[in-house]
Amino acid sequence: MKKTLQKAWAVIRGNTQLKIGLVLLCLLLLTALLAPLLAPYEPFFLSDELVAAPSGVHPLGTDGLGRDVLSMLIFGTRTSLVVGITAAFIAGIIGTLLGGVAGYFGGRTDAVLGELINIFMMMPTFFLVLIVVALFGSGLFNVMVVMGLTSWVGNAKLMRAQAMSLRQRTFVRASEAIGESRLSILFRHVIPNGIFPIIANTTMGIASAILTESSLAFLGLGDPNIISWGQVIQSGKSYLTNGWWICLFGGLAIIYTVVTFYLIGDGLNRVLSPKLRDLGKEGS
Amino acid sequence: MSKALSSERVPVLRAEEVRRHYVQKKKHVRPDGTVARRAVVKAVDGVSFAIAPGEIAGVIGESGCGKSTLGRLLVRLEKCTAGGIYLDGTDMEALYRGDRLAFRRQTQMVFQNPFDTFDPRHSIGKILTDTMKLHHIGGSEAERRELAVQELASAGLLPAESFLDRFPYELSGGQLQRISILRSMLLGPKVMVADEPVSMLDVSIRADIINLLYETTRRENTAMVFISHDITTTRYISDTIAVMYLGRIVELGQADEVVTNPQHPYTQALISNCGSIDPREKRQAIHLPGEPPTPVDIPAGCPFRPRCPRAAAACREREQTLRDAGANHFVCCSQVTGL
Repeated sequence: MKKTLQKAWAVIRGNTQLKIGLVLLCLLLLTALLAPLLAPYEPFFLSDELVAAPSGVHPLGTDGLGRDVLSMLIFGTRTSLVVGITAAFIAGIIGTLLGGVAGYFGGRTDAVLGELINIFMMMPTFFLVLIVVALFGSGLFNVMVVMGLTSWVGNAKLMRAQAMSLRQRTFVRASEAIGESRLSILFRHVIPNGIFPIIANTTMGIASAILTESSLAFLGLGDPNIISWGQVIQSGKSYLTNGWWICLFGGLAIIYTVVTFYLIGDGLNRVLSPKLRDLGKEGS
Repeated sequence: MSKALSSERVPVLRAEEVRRHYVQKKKHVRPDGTVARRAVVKAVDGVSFAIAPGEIAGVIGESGCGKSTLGRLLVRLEKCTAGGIYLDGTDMEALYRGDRLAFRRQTQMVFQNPFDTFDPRHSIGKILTDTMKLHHIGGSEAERRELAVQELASAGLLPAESFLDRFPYELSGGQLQRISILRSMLLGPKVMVADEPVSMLDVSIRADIINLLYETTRRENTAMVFISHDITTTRYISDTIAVMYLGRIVELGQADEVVTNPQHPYTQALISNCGSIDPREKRQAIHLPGEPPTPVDIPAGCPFRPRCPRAAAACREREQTLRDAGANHFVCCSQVTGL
């Protein structure tokens, strides 16, 4: 166990992108965990200063209702992280499994799953989420699950293509000849060797799930009991001309998170592939 | 047909009229101008032979003649379209359906590309111990590791311990092919299929790999099907040689007999074009007219007829079969065997 940790540490240290990404993620996680300690105000606390410019009292200013933007952003981190990670995780797992099965087993299985993938590709995710929110309420849980259940198509297509090319590789045939079952080959050889683009795509998925949630909140369909970055931007929309800080810092928070997950995704991609890992060593 | 070849022993592997056809769903224009909705690629088209335990059978032929497909059929990486393959007299399909692992222990394969034979994410130790674990060899992980070290050492990979934690991309092609062979032999197969095992290796280490294959299969009395386009190597290692053309065996006999006294016009051309290390040796290379054939439109009658220097009108009508031309030498040509 200790050895594995040491190995992992060495790998992280050897990859700049992963190192930066993880540091940024740690900051993000700390912010989410320590939100009540870090935030100068309660997120819903209404002060008397409306649309106040950034100052010593309100480091990032206040919005139209007099809420402190910094405090809202700090508490919004929790929402965004939970929504993004859960939705992307669900999408990643479904996409990998369906794409892997379709690509590796081929034939009729592929024909059926391929059609299923096409059907879901046609489905307008955002409107589906809107309908679910309209029907079942704007609870965060609904939003996360629906986003996860509808956004796996990209992952499935990637994994299917990977599995189809890996199926032709000698080591997959050799594993078959040595006697491994098809399911074992799928999980032990095909998926681990083809997962790299899925990892990168899933980290991008985290970012896009955060964006979708923000869009919902921006449209006023977010969970009103939970503060989120989308809500911050929505509340700043009307004050773009005289209160640039509301939208700007809300947007920056989203960009920060997207970049963080992109760095981690790309870093992991390099670390997980043995050949790329060596290239990384030579480079650094 | 080739019963006489191993009449004294019961064959361990017997193929009967094995066919493997691939259907391509695309428009296909036949040579006579008619259009078909689908093209049928007859990669293997009626192959029959038998191998005795411990026998080494070479299969030679040019690219695209179906020898690699035949190899995959023999270890059931692909299903026969028609015909049957029998292992110790039992249908391979039934064995595969019955107990997959037990069947896999009986037939093994060494692949052409050693650099891609192993999962690049697994260490050599893991590759070997996982195989043992799958087939319930060795009681504990430590025991399996110990066994892996012994096997590596016996294949000349020293110091053996240092290989366990290395990854396939860190080793040379020769080392990888040794590991591929020892992993297959670990299961004690009755039949080993070697599909061009040295064609991707340096010339300097080919002999070592060939000798390792030869020694291990002889020691375990494993029959081997040695697929190659290298006639000299095949002659060196094989007891018998089968020459394939367009998915069929056109000539079959004792290795030396086939190489030194080829009967079929195609074999004669193939061997006359085989290079020799001695530049002074005078040879008359037979030039074959026409394109290398595609296995889509196989002409009726003798498939070699369009390129054959000895083709006669009768070759068009008569379906050719392997016939004994004397001394356990089978030829698929009515011009040679008569009738």
